[in-house]
Amino acid sequence: MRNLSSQRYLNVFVALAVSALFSNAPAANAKKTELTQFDKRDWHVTSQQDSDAPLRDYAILYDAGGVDGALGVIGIPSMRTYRHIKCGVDLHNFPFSGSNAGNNNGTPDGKYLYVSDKGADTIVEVNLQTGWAERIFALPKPFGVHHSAALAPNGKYLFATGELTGKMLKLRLKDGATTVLDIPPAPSAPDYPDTSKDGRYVFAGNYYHSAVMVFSQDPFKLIKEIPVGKNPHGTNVSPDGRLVAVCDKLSATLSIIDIDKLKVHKVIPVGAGPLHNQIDTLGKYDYISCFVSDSTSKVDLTRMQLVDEFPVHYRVGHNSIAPDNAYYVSQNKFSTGLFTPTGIVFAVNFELQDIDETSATYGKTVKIIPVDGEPHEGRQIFASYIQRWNTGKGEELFSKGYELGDVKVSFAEGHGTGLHERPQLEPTHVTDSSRGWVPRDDGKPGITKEGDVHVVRIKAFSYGYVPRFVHVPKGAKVRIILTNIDKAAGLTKNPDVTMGLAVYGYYGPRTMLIGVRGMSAVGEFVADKAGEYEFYCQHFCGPLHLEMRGTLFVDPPGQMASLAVGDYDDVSKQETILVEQERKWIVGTNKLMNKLNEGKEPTI
Amino acid sequence: MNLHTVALALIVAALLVAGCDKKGSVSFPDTPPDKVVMTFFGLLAEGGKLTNKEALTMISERNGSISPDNFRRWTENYSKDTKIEITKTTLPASPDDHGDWIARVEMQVKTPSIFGGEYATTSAMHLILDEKLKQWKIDFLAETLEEDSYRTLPAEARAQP
Repeated sequence: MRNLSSQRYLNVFVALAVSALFSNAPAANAKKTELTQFDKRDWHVTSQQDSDAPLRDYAILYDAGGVDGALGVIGIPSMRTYRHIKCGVDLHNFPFSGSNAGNNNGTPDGKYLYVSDKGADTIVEVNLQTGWAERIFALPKPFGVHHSAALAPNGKYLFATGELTGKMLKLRLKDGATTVLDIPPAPSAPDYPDTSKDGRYVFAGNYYHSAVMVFSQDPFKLIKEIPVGKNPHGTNVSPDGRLVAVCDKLSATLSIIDIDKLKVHKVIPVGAGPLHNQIDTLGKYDYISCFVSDSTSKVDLTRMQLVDEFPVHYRVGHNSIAPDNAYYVSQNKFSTGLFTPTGIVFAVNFELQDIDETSATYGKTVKIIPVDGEPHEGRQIFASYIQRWNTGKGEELFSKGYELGDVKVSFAEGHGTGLHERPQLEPTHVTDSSRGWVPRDDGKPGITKEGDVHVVRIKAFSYGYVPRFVHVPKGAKVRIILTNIDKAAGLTKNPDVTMGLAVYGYYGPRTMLIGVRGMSAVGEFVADKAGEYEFYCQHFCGPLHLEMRGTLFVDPPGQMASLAVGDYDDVSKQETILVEQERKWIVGTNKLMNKLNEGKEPTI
Repeated sequence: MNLHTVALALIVAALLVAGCDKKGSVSFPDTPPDKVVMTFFGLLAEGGKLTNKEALTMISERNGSISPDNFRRWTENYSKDTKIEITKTTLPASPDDHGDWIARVEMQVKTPSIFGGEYATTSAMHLILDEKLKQWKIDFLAETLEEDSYRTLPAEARAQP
């Protein structure tokens, strides 16, 4: 009896001690909002707060918003959407200006990001400090950009992939001068690129070749193809510059390339449908988005093996990682059953996952939000990089520059040092065209003429189009009727897969058809610029979404359009995308093409 | 076996075959399939959440269901200026291989064009008989339409002069 009583006292003591310990824990770990002199000016900040959702976000996630043509700006960890920055038609991928040191987020200087617009075939320079699009690089035509993810180490050159024509490009950011390389043999689709940290190489997957291409940065030329798994996609260099991690989309593996030896060092099984990598800043872990297995796979790059897997909701595409490695954002393509409908463009979602191994919620989803458009690349930056322009000193900060840690940031070069000298481009998305939906058309695929209109009936399915090669004469009035004929969409059996059809470049703003199930999408426009223009599915539809492509040939009189025959100089002016006063901010790179001759470029 | 016996056997066999025909046991709903289709697109053209929800109830779930969210986003931009004319309605004489009774409604659709006037498209819609509810339900996702043969058509198409 006595023994039992002693045991009870002991139990009570232990329980009290444990509860005291844990009752103190939240207070000890709570994050306090730090007030600065600037906060005191803000009417809504009245006192310090203990909160896990502070008013100030410590990081900012930028996402290339895909089909809505805008960059999303989202706070981390609150996941609040701050704004959208209009840029163009179909945004895919960007690096921050600065240098390529570090992981996928690079080492930003807080000035710009350069986002590729696959629909308009441009790269748009966005000023992070003003939050406006400031310059448009109209890429040499034909090109068909997909990704522009890679900066040279000195931040002066950008490498982009011409997925739709089988080309690669090196662009001088100062003036838009370009060197363009053809990547044979066709079909060739240079995909997601990254650069080595020492300035030696550019790596880019090529899904048609099931290989990673290796280019030298200076002189810019193809030096090798390294066979990897089937249809490689995300291709990322580790922060220590030792290896390249390649997502083998159809092989469910991650190929690790040794940069010194330029050959595959190890192949790691990671889960079905790996699409993109996010390596942490230490180069220890690689987080891989697996589309088919609905998961984030975590690979230990030291042990070279899969060490963890977190579920996501659902069908992840791109991903991003916080600059302090504490959070990971799974950028999911489908939100089946998750949110309230708000319009024709369905909400995809961002899912914030805690990847801090010391955290109580490690591996868990801590927040999930619907987002606009169909975002592709996401990259994060410390919020402290964006200056506080609400202090009345914005003009001064632009003209005199500012300190960013040890770095002095200056806007002395470029468009002008005054805030009032900087443009705000808001490109118009839709021009001289119409889009709509009609009851599901049952016409046979092909081209018919109805009066003076060329009616192009295209059937879309997982993963292709019939017909794939469409010829219309220059000047033709064109009506495209797109019908999604999938029964249960492809490999992933999602009942709600939407197909798309966007013709890149000049016709990008005129098409962007959305092929929902049960209805047919109809687009009308005048084919007034000759040339060979790839069309592609702009709505993520499954693992082979990127491979879903076709070609629109607008044939000039008496000739066949090709990559050599077309009104490419005309369409490079992007004249229909901008109004007159905005045109001076277009850098027309066609005139400068290949001015940078191989071997005669400034050393990087 | 005399002629009498053979004739009798044939009659019995014919009666047995007729007895096996399911058609005799099915009565089609009072609302014909073409009326269902017109009502369906009428609701879509009207717009709004409630009408859209009502249109969704007219869709067959025989081959899978559609979430209300998806259905709304797929159909909410359907133009109210679209005109539909039913050109042919075919009632089934027998069930298909899966035992479903499928009616076919063909229509001509006229939609305003930016080139002036209207353009016409044709559409064929299948309706599956819901014997329990005694209603024709729309096969909105076209799961019963044969379209796989399209995939083998020539990849190249050009306008005829």
